[in-house]
This record gives sequence, C-alpha cells and structure tokens, in this order.
Amino acid sequence: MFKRIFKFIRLRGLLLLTLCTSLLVPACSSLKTTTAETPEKPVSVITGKPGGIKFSDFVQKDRPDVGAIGLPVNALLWRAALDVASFVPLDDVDTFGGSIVTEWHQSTDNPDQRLKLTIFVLGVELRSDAVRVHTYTQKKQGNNWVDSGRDEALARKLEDLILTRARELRAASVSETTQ
Amino acid sequence: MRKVLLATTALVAMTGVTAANADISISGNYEWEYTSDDSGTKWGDDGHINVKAVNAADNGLTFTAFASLETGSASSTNTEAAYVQIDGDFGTIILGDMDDSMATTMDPGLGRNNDIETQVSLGSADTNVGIGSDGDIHYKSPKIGGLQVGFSKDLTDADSSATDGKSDMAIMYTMGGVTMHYGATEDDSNFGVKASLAGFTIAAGAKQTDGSSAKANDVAVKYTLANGITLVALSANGTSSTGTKTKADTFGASYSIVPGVKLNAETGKVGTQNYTWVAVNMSF
Repeated sequence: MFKRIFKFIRLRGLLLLTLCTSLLVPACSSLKTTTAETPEKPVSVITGKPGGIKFSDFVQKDRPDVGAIGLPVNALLWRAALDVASFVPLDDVDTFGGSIVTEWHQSTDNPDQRLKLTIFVLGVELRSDAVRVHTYTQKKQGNNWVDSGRDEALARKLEDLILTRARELRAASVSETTQ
Repeated sequence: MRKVLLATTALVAMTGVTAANADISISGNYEWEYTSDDSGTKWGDDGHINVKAVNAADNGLTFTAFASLETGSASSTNTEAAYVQIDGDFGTIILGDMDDSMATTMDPGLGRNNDIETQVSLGSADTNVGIGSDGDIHYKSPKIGGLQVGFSKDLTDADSSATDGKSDMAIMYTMGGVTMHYGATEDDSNFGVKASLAGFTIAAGAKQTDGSSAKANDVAVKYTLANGITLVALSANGTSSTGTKTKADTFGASYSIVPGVKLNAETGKVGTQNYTWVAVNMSF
C-alpha cells in the first residue's frame, strides 16, 4: 500500500501542484479564498443547536441561580450547614430559600441560657461569604426567658465550622471520582 | 415533616456533591422522501436515533460510546453503527462499526460528497473507495500542521466478505482555503481537492483501480444564495473494468425551513436513468 502511495504522488505530483497553485495564484487575489467548509452538523429542531438533546440540559447546571438537580443553593454548603446545625433540634428548613431555623436549645452545662440559630446559605458558589449564621440567646430570669442579644463570636465559629465541613465533603467527593 | 425535609434535602445534597463528568445525548433525524424515476414513483422514509455517552476522564482521555439505530416504515429497525471511541493527545481510536471507514470519512474533496444526497447509485462513476461499514477498528491521528492520517481495518478473516482482513487509509491536508486528501485500499485509490472561492465551494475527485481499466472522476460546485438556498451541481464520469462508460449529471438544492428542518431536492441522470427526488428532513 505504501509503494502505491509514493508511485501515485510521483505520477500526479506535478498535476496536483499545478492545480493547487492555480487556486492560489496572485492573479486571483481579488477573489477572497476562505477555509474549505467543514461538514456542518445537523441542527436539532428542538434545541436549535447541533449535538442533539443533552440530558445535562435538563439539569440546568449552567444557570447561576440554580444548583445541581434544581437546588438553588450550593449543595456542599447546604449539607454542611445541616450537619453542623444537627446538634440543635430543627424548627424550619427551607431548601429553596436556603434557610435553617432551629428551636431554642438549652445546654445542660448552662441551663439558665438558651440558644437559637438561624443559618442562611446564599448562592450556588462555594464561597466563604455564602453562609451566614445568626445566634440568638436568652437568659432565664425567674420563670421567664429574656432576650440577651446575639453571640457574634459563636456565629463566626459556626460559620467556620460549616465552611470546613463543606471542604471536607468536596474533598471526599473528588477522591470518590478519581478512584 | 421535618424528617422528610431533612431526608430529601440530604439526598439532593449527596447527589449534587458527586461530580458528573459524563454527558448523554440523543439525536437523530427523520426523512420523508419522494422519488420519481423511469420505473415510476416511490414514497418512502427513513430515520435514525443516535445515543451518545461522553465521559472525560481525569487522565485527559475522553471516552465515547455511540449507537445508531436506523429505522423506517418500510424496513425493520437495525443497528447501523455501534462503537467505543477513545480520544487523546495521540489521536482517536474507534473500536466497532462506525458505518464508515477512515477512507470514506476523510474524503471531503470528492465531488460526490458535496452534493445534496447522491440519491441514485453512481455505479462506476463513483469516486468513493474504502472498506466502509466493514471496518472493525479505526485510528485517526491528531491534526499536525494541517496534516491528518487515518487507518481502518476489517479484522474479520472468515472469507465471507470481499473486505475480510482488508484495510484502508487516508491522508488529509488542509492548507489555507484548500483541503486535499488521498485514500487507498489494497486495490483502489482516490484523490480529491476542495476549495472555497468567492462563495463557491468546488470539489474534484478521481479514482483508479490497480490492474484494471476502471476509473472515475467527478466535480461538484456548490453555492449558497443570500436567501439561504444551497445549490449544487455534480458531474461524474466513470469506466468500469469491462470498459463500460457511465456518465452522471445531477443538480440539487437544499433549504432550511426552520433550524433543524430541511427541504431537499435533487434531479439528474445517471447512465440512462433519469430521476427526481424531493425530501423533508427533520433533525432532533
């Protein structure tokens, strides 16, 4: 087969060179030459684009306001927030709003003080500013609970815990994929 | 209620954590066609359903599984192509039946590959060479400096097909506005040149058979009007191994009614047979 290639090129080389040169001769410089067209892929009547219908289009992964499988917040942060908040009974969980509200929780170490958490997961990106925690504290005075403000230090610690847990989950998923 | 919310949220979160590198797509087409020739008129249809799964591995290789089913109201459904493709820096390896071979896919310069349909067999005026759908393993190199080579082989050696154990190859070179190719099997070889000039696409090809007087050549000219209608004229001549000459002249047009729906038509004369063909093709 290779002998035939070389024979063919020798016999028709001059003709080919002449043919190609005639297409590129300077006298034709007034005519614009373009790259020979590549075969066009058929366009889908449904999507209007070539390549058919992709299942990933239904997942809408590329929409910035929608996370994987319709979750509008970052899935890693959401899972991490649930894990961290799980030490306190949950009162309300809004998956699509990205908010977690716990019930009032009394610690056995300090029964005169109780704590309530509100956690917000913002956006679909895994960013340090995509989680916000508010902590509300109340102190017992007699038989009544009185608001004693917010514990910002505890809120920042909880945010760090959620971000750390999210990183752990991401590392675990990456190692699962590469195995 | 809270437990259900937590459970479903955790499930969604778990699924969302897993990276999804694979993508699955479905495509295909359906064509309804009318043919009128010297023997009468025929109505027919045919369609394809293609399923493709692509997965990009972390090592840089891309794996593709592809299957194509061909069907029609007058024919049974059959698997037209099914293969696994591996893409990498080394090029592309295809294992299986891709309903073509490298010599029949890397030949853009042939006139017969630039018309609308080639609805009627061109016989000895056909410039196509290759083992076609009998190929079992294929390789295509990466494009280096505009040069690309491809090989296909029919691994079957049971002597039940004329192509058993045979192979074909193709070399394609793109330089500026010109694409040239050379294809060969053990017995045949062809050559083609394609270029675009002032809006016209011109493709010319030639074929010869070793140890035989059989040969063919063709030329096609394609032009797309401002209204989107594509016009193609094809002229082909061939001589069979017995010396019988065949001449083919066809003229075709294609118009995209909406993206994905095309109206195609072709008329011409191949040998002594006149024909006219009109079809509506929808892709999805």
